[in-house]
Amino acid sequence: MAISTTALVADLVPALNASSTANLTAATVAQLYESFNRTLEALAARGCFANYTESETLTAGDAVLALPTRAVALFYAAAKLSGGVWSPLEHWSRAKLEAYDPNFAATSDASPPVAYVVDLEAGQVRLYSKCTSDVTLTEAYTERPATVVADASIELPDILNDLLFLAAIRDVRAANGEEAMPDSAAAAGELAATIAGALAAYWSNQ
Amino acid sequence: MTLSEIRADAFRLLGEPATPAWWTAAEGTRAVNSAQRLFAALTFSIEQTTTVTLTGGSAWLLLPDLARFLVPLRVSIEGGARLMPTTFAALAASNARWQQSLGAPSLYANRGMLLAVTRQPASDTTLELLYAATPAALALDGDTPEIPVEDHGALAHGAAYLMALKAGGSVLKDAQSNLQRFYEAIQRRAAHVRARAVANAYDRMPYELKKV
Repeated sequence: MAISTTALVADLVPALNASSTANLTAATVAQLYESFNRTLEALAARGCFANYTESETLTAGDAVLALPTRAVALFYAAAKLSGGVWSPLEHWSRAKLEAYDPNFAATSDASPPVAYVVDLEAGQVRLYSKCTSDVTLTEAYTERPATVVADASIELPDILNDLLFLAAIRDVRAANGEEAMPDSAAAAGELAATIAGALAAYWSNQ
Repeated sequence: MTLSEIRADAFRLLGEPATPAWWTAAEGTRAVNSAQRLFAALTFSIEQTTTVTLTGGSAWLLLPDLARFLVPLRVSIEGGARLMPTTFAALAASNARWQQSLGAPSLYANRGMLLAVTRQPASDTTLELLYAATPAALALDGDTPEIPVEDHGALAHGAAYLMALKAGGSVLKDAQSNLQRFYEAIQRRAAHVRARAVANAYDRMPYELKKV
């Protein structure tokens, strides 16, 4: 069952003491979607959503490739040459790469790369070193779900319905400072944290 | 217990009549469903089995859309040997060529809905996946929850607390004891499931709830 954002917002109407979706202000609706996306981002940051690419080709002489769309971090990468065997790559920081080989951008080798450096801001992965022949790559990575928008259907496990619901009550009520509601926001937040903690324990196993 | 019975109990716990003025039946149903999902997620009291196809020669498998999936409890070759759980870090540390070792699968690692398997069978292979699941949503008044029948009463406590969230103030404070009762039932069931999981040598245990 996909999660319907329309249904989720409708479910939140009574919880926010409104009489109908139409009665929610545009600002509140915006807050709700901001909350949904922030909640999913937080879960993604804990490594709960994983994906992979296999047999991606890096042309001879290239060292940089784009990170998969919505990737948060790589947690496994391996490379091989045509007819060769997979060789896992080490995860290096940019500082380690520069210290190891100040001339890294020009270094090239006939062997497969040995390490990768992720530049999240640029959305790129740099392999070290460049290879004189084509390289095949496998990347396993954590990712963030697609941004949640109005009237969308999201293919996510059902339990996230409850997490998004509770986190939205927490966020909207806390933001609006409703009278006599801080306890309600805190209680919803506590339940949301319990669910998020359990899901992180279940889904971020490395 | 049926959905309507649990919902009526939840309203009663909030001091409301069977047809309350402050909450709707739809709110009650949503709260009961949410309570049951939360209960199942924290106890692994619902198990589902499905089969997935591992493509021949591939080490990777992204599980198809399993809306009710929580975590794998046991993975095995259909009608055959069981795969033992490990981690990606352990796979890479123990055998650099783990994703290119032909043979019968014996290990798996998972993260979210992603599974990695070693060794890799040469041809397509069906894996049997036993997983902890969340329940199907209750919709009709006569629907009964999937969690064990002894725990159906706890859903009224969980639902009452969830419904009290919108009221806040003294209503929420009064409902605090319902949350306590709900958590106690979760802990009892989770302890039972953990004992059973040890006996069955399942791969994962329910989340340890520190509350209470």
